[in-house]
Amino acid sequence: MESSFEANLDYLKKTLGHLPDIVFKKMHAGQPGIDVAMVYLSGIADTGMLNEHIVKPLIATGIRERHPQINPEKLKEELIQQTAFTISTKEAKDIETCVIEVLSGNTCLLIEGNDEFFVVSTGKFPLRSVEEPSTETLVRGPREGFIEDLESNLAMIRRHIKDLSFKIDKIRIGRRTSRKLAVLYISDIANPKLVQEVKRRVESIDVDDASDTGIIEQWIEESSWSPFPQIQASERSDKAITALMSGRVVILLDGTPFALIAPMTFWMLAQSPEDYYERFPLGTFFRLLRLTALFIATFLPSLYVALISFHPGLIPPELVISIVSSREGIPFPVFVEALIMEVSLEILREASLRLPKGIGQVIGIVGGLVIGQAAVEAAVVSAFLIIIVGLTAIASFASPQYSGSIGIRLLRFPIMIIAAIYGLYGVILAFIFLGAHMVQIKSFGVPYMSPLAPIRLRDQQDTLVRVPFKYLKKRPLMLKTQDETSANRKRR
Amino acid sequence: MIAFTFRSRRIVSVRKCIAACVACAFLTGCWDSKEIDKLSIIQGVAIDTNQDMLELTYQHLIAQKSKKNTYTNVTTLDNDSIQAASRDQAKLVSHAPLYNFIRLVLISDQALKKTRIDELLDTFTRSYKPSRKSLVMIVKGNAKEALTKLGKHKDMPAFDLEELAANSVLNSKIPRKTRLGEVSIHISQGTDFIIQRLVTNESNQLAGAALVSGTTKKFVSWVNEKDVIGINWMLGSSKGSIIKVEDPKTKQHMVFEVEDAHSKLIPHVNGEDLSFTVRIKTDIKLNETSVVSAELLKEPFIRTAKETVEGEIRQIVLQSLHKLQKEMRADVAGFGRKVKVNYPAYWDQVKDHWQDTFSKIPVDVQVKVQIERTGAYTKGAGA
Repeated sequence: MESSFEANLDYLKKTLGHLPDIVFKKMHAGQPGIDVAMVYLSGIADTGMLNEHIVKPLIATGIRERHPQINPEKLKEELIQQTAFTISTKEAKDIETCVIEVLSGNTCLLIEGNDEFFVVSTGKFPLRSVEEPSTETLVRGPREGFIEDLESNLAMIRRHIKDLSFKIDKIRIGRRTSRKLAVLYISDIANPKLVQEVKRRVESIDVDDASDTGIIEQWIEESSWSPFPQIQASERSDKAITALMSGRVVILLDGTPFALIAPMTFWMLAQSPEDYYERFPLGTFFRLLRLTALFIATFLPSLYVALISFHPGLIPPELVISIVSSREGIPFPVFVEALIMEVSLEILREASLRLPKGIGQVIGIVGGLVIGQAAVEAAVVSAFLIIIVGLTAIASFASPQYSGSIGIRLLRFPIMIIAAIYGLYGVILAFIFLGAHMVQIKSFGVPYMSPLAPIRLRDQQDTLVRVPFKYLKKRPLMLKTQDETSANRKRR
Repeated sequence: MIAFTFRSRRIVSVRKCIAACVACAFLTGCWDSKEIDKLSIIQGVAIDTNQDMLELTYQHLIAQKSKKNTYTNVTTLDNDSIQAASRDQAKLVSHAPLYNFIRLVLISDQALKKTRIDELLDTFTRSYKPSRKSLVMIVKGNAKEALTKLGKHKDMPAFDLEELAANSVLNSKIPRKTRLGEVSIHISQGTDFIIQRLVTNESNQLAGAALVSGTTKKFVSWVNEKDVIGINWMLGSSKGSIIKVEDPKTKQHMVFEVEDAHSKLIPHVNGEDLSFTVRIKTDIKLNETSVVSAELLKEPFIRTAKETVEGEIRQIVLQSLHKLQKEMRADVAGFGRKVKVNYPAYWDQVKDHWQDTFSKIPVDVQVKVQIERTGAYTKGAGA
């Protein structure tokens, strides 16, 4: 028995001893007492907590038990009792886990005469406070966004779901970083095959580190060559909860506020939680508006190029006159002109991201207004093109999915090139190619364009339109959930 | 080769993509990129005759950023071909012409006397593809002159004329505007039709109509404004115009605005005899009156006014009908079509000498007037 304690301690010393801030603290509990060793990293473990919640109870136990021979079992019981409410204590069987726990800031407690290790969560890291997510702001709806800490994020979700079948499966990811990753689902809603597949794919990831769910996303998605995101990323806890309720699976990773929601469909690019928080006509209107914006963001510059340089006859006569007069004296063909503006806009957008927050706004104004105005006055680009580019830029921000809108930003350029070569015919070709691509990609077995292709009539009530909740009783058919009804069970 | 590329599994998808792009390049597409600012937008066309030659004038738009848009007129000549004359512009204008935005085609009466209208407009309906919505007008005298007169609002001539033509809804002296598409329908059906007539003095002015024969497809004669009013009533297109009558008792005038007008041509075939009933139904309102003593809200006044208006309309229609039947022998209101639709067998008998038949058919005109409003107050004493 004793040898086990010493051996374990020796092993820990051997594996962790080289770390500069490792502490092996040995102390006696009780009169002749038994040896207790605490192993922790002084740099990241909260020593105050350690003192308060481990050392004190140990000493107290020792004082109370004045027996010459203190029973290790007794000590263990006492320890658990005393620390039960103040600190989370786990028992670990494996010394390898113990090492990882120490490395993540927890304290490993070894008690003489006991085979087990106690892991006390003493890790204390600076945490960001819960803020409104900056990438997905809403006017109406919860202001709660995920933070970098996994436990806090889980707490945020757990707080709102009091369901016995809400399951959290934790695994570790990253060969060297060993980050915590949690797969969340509601076991009697989500399709078990989906859950199994998500877990299988996540577990198969073998990387040194994954510092954001973006990396996880790219490892587990089906089509890496596609410009479209196949897994939804969100900072919003309410979005994650809604996804869980519809039978989707949520993946949370320690160290990033972005949760992954799978499976995803194309229409989710145009859906926002606000669609449900406002009454249904508004929700429907906004969805259609966002889809229009997506179309504009993808095709407007190329349509402009095609119409101006190939098919002026398709433009209304008055408009053609104003376009012609605005293009007076422009030295470049319309494609070059559009390309210059689009590229400079992308540069501007990229640059304003990097700038400190205060300056960013100024640059936005300088870049947008001053350069635009000056370029028009210097007859480098036409005023009409500024409208087109501006409209495109604004439209690309209308999607609530950031990763979706950047995909579309990228698509714009090849389509513009095709438009410059083939005209409207090329734009239509690009549309067809894009459509063909979108119907063939899948997200965890769910076709990307479903429920429109393949058509699922029942899911139409919550895709392009959002019908009143009175009629919205069923969960999406395409997810093949176990429990199909989500509301109004009695009147079924 | 391409089909093989796609079927083969050994060829990787990247190569398939390239093959697809190449394949697309060979499909029919629009290869000729023409920058819009290197094209010259043509707003209007005038067709004249100049010593046995066809004279073609195109109005080119000069779009400017800084100043107001202006125009330039380019005139070219050819013996008999519109297309050949158009192409001669290339000797004068650096930008390639863009025909899609032609708003109106002006034809001088001289040109229409010499050449058939379908010949003159053939190239515009066939190959150059201006919109079928573009207007056709007949100009008395010199058509290219009309393209030099700015409108009262200083609009470009082509713009101004296009809007002027739409004013038939305000005045029944103006015939309905005729579009290129309608002309080609009339041409193919072989019916007579009238086109708005334009007179150019200091400024452009609409004045009556020109009659084009369906058989010769050439200019026949002018139609004066009074007859145009009658034709408009028969066609049911008087809506928005006014009708002025005299009060039978006081000899004072009353002016009514036509709120709604419908007409129906009803053919009756009785053996070999054809007769027509023209049924006109209209809703009018009193807009102006100098009848002092009238009790506008009272039944006697309304009844008299109604009867007076009915008589007036009937007289106008009968007069112009008489002129159309006896003098011009031109069926512009579509009597022939009614016979053709309702009595196809009878039509087959008469279609070869329809002009003669038309000039002899008895026509009964029935007018029904409904006075909707007479204004809010009465002018009578003590009212």
